[in-house]
Amino acid sequence: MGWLGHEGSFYDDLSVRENLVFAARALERPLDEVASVVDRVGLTSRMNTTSRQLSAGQRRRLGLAWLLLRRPQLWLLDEPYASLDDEGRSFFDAMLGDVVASGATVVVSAHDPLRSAALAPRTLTMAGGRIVGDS
Amino acid sequence: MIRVALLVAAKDLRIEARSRVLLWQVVPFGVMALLLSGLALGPSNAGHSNAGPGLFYLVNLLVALLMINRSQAVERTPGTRASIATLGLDPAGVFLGKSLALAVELWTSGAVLLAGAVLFLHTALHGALVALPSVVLVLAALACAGTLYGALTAGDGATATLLPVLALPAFAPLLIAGERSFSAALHGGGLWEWWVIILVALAAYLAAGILLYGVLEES
Repeated sequence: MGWLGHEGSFYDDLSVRENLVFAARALERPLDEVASVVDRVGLTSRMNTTSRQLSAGQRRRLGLAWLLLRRPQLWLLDEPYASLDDEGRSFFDAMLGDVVASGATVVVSAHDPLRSAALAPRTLTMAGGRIVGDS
Repeated sequence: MIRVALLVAAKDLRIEARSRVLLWQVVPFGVMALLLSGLALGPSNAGHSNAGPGLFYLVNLLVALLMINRSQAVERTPGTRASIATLGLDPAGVFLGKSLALAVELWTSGAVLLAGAVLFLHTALHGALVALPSVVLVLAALACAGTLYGALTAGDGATATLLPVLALPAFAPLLIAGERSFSAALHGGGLWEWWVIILVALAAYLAAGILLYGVLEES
């Protein structure tokens, strides 16, 4: 299971590379996967930037890279689109599309309906802590 | 377990090297506390006082409390704890790694404070060097107990208050044994009985941490 919150989920004083190398070593993944996932999420130019210095969208991409390293079967994403501009949202949609296509299950909690219907074959609408819609 | 311990220790030390909290905040605080202790004893009395070892360990304890809070705080930024939990790291390895990193930080500050004790409290240099091995062991045991109690109190709004209160029974024997062995190194007397107490405490806190850290993290 992998989880990504909207706050960012890593060590603020470590760089993009150091955060991902830590995760790769913890997961016993080959270190060359780090460069590959960083490239995939478009953070190659920010490799040596500390996570504290990243923008909200870049932090979200770092979280995504962390999850790509983990390769979980179940992805739990808490408001992944918060603070993202249109380009960031499109990028996230494309990445999640790839993840879903690879056979993983993605659960997204969001205030707004997902823009791509292909990403949300099932949408539960909640109000006051109760499910009020299921489509 | 050892692999995870080294990974976590390297990560914590890298964060410390990057943030420089120890270098720019904690060590200067410790040096100032020692300097003020020397002034409180009175410049003419500092060299003749038996309070040097006790003051040295008191300042080390204050430094340790700051560093324990810091060590736990880096894991508590929003989202980080949940994310790290999904990595499935062995809790015993995490405890050993965090304790090792904290011990290295305390050894670093301890070396500066030992020099400060010689300078400001006029502690005999030869005695300070004889006491060095016991200082290393006491600080290692403080690091283990501190990591354990730090995890116990982390996440609570009153961590800074709770930690010294809850950890006092664990820290007190270490401080007494450390002060006694330092005094014995300075003024003569049996060292070994205090070494045994320090070693037993170190082994006990290591064992307790390895067994209980996972439970504390879960709760």
